[in-house]
Amino acid sequence: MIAAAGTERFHRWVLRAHWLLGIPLLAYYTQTSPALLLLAAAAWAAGAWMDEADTPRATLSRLGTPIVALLFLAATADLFFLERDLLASVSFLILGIQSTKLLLPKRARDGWQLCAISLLEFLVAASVADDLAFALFSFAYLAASAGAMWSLHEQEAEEAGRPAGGFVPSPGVAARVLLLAGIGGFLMTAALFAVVPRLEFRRGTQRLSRADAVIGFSDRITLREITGIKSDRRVAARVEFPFLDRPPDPGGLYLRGILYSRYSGDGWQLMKTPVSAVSRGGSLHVVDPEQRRSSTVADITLEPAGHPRLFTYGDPLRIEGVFGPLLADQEGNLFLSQPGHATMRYRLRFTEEPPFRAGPAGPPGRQYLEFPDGLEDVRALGVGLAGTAETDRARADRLLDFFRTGFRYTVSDPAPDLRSFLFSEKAGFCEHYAAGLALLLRAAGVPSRVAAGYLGGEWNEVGRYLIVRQSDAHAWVEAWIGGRWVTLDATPPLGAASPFYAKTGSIGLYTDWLRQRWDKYVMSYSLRMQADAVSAGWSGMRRTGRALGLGPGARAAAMARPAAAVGAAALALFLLLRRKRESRRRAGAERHTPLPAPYGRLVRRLERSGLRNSPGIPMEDMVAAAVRSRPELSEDASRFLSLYLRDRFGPAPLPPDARAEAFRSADRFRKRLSA
Amino acid sequence: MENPLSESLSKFRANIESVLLGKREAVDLAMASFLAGGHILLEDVPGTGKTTLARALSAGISGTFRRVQFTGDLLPQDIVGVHILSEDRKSFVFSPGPLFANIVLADEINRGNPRAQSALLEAMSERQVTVDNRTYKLPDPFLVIATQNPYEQHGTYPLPESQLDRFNLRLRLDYPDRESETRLIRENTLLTMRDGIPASLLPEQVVSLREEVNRVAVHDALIDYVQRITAATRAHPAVRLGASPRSAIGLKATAQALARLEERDHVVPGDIRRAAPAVLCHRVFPKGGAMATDASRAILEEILSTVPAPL
Repeated sequence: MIAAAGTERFHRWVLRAHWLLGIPLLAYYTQTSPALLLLAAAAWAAGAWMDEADTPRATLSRLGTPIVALLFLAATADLFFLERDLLASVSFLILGIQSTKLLLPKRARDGWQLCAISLLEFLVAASVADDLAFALFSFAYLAASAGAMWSLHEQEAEEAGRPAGGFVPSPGVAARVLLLAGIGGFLMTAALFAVVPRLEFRRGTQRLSRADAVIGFSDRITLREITGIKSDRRVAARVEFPFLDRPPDPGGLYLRGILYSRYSGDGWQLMKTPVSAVSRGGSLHVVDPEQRRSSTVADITLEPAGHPRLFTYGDPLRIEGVFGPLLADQEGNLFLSQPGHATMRYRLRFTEEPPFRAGPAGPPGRQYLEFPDGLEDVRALGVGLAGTAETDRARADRLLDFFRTGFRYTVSDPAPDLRSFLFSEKAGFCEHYAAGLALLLRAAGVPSRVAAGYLGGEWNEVGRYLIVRQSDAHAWVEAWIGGRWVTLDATPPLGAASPFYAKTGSIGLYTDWLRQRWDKYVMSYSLRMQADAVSAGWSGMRRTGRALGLGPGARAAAMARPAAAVGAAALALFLLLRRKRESRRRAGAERHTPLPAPYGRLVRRLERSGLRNSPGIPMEDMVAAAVRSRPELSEDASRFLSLYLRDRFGPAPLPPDARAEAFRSADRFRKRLSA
Repeated sequence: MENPLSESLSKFRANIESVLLGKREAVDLAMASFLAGGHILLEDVPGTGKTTLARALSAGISGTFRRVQFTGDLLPQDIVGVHILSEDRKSFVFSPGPLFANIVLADEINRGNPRAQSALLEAMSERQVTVDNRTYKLPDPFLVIATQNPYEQHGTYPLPESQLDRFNLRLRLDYPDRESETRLIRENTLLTMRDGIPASLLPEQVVSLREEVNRVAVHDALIDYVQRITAATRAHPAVRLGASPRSAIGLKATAQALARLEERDHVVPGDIRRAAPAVLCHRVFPKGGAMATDASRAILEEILSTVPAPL
């Protein structure tokens, strides 16, 4: 009795856990009013306490329906006259009903309703969340659901007067059910995440989601306080280099997000140039149509961001990814057509050293030499430093040398403006260095611009990819030297000496690796891989068509489709026939006449006991083995066996009553075997 | 036991078992082969009771028993018999050799030369002998029990495949278990003759027992099972030469006799599985040749476990 009471208690709490789980989900993943969520949580706690103490709530029960009606009215009023926000009203109504129900005494029906509300909350959270943590959470949620269903079932039986606990599984079975439910939930959520981002309804709930995306990379940078960014350890991107044998040197990896070409006294600005869509075929965007001999491939996964920039290394050639049209301006900035994005993955093919280009792109325009008025001393400094150097390269080297001595890197007490950085304080962070170098280059007659993005990152040896964090944000200079844009960085390389140097412990590396795999295989991979698989199959078919002389394009496709259909049908038919033949063959081999059901049951029982580990073992041997391990069965066994053998292999069919007796003895033997 | 034959049979069986301690399975198989009319090849190291079993089988029926010791210079005439000039010197009369007996023990058959071996083997399958164009029928029942020592190589003529196939059964007697061996040691001296068992079956009884064995029902599913087993020996990838149709018939007949020994009027799958190793092992020739007996036993076990048994 005590054990039973304990189980019942456990059931009740599992059920309560299920009711509660939706609330933290909403709190964490959505912008639902915290006050409402707190109210619901409080109602849950109060309800649980009153249920446990068995407080009489007759008055409250009578008030239940009026309260719900009132809530409904309030929500409607809110929708039509006050906030006019459908999502807010609906969440108010649902949380209100949930709180009321939680406070009232509950019958099984109320339990089901509360479970349904909790499921609704779960789905809302699932539609805006897409991370691994949520999937792991759903593991717990669905395990709790299984427990909840079960306890409600018990309660219903009790209310209906049927004996409750008719099916009382052992703790082992219960644990397995919960575990299976949890794993099933995890997998379902993973599938959900792979699908939901492509569904339109997400747009409706997206507004609810928390704004924790990476921001920055606006159209303008100034020498503002950046300690916040540099100490932000959030991951901005993860980069794999699938075809590199050795990890690249992070110190030389400039992940560029945006280029600024115009200086306006206090900061650098994006130059507004005409924007055009990058030509694409399917998911492949061709940024630079020229074929290059040496190129590198990087698989970049960007975390959710509140800006549309697409990050690239070096000189991008092709970008492969599913994100709608890709836009490019005259500068070479790449960005998406929407203002931000969720987790996004794309494959970048780039050259590290853009080749000399004398053709149409030609030398850059005047704008890269533009120099603002009022900075004559800076211009004089640039001219003076460049001195008599003959080439752009030499001039740039001299200017870089200038920053090597007397300057120090700081984010805590940087120079307030560019002039003081260059002439007096000589202390600043990357933006100071980049702005200073770019201006000095322009003064010396070298076209230049400022680039912003991320420098390097932390190499994760576990998953063999680069972790790029917000704290790796950086600004540097690109100068037009020798007919191409060359990356120049005046900022002293700090490496491990940097106060923002990220070094993750091994557990952290594994966690991050899990996260990366999740993004790769669940969030982004499925769609890209589907596209890849389809395009690969399609191009293979076209190649085959060409090889067969069917001609390119439409004709091959027109022929290929019916051919594929016929082939698939033939394959299906073949498999079907083979299966049929196989089963017939097996039936013929094992059973001369179909095995009567009682014998079949016994054989299956013996098979389950591991007494028939090969098809060659006849009934006699199985029964003998069973008797060897349980000698007390020998009487039943021999009785059954003689009848069975006579029935199956005897010279004449058994008379009906003997046959019935044989069946009975088979059943009896099987039951004793199971006992 | 309503059948008087059964009574004699069980007495016969008990007698043999009392001589050959702890060899119940071998005795059953040998008796089954005897009842089915199949010749027996006993194979093992010396002193394990091969001759004892042969003598006990023959002594159990009150028929004639002859023994031929095979040696390198044994001639066919020595086995079969010769025509000799009669005393009145007008005609040749046949002087039958040791083959004219109900049970013939061909001891150390692999020491005999191929000529002698083939003379014996012809008699085994035809149940008659031909000497100088005249044919003489052998007595009924007629059974050859041959023994050989497989571990002796020097000066032997191993039986070729075709002749091995004439033997329905090859038995290996192996050493007795500990209990039986201690009993053997305790009870015997070198001079003890342990094959002096009383005869319990008449030759006519053997003939009618064989008819009964023939009447033991074999379900079609079991015929099919026998066929599948023999076919599987031929299809096995490690086998050079598989079992012959004759061996399939022998397997069926031995299973029938085993069923009769257990007083059943029908064969069950277990009978076939019991008989199969003894009946088939020496007729399955694995690739590679050497260490053939062990390999063929393993192959047969594999086949018996993979060929589905009828349920």
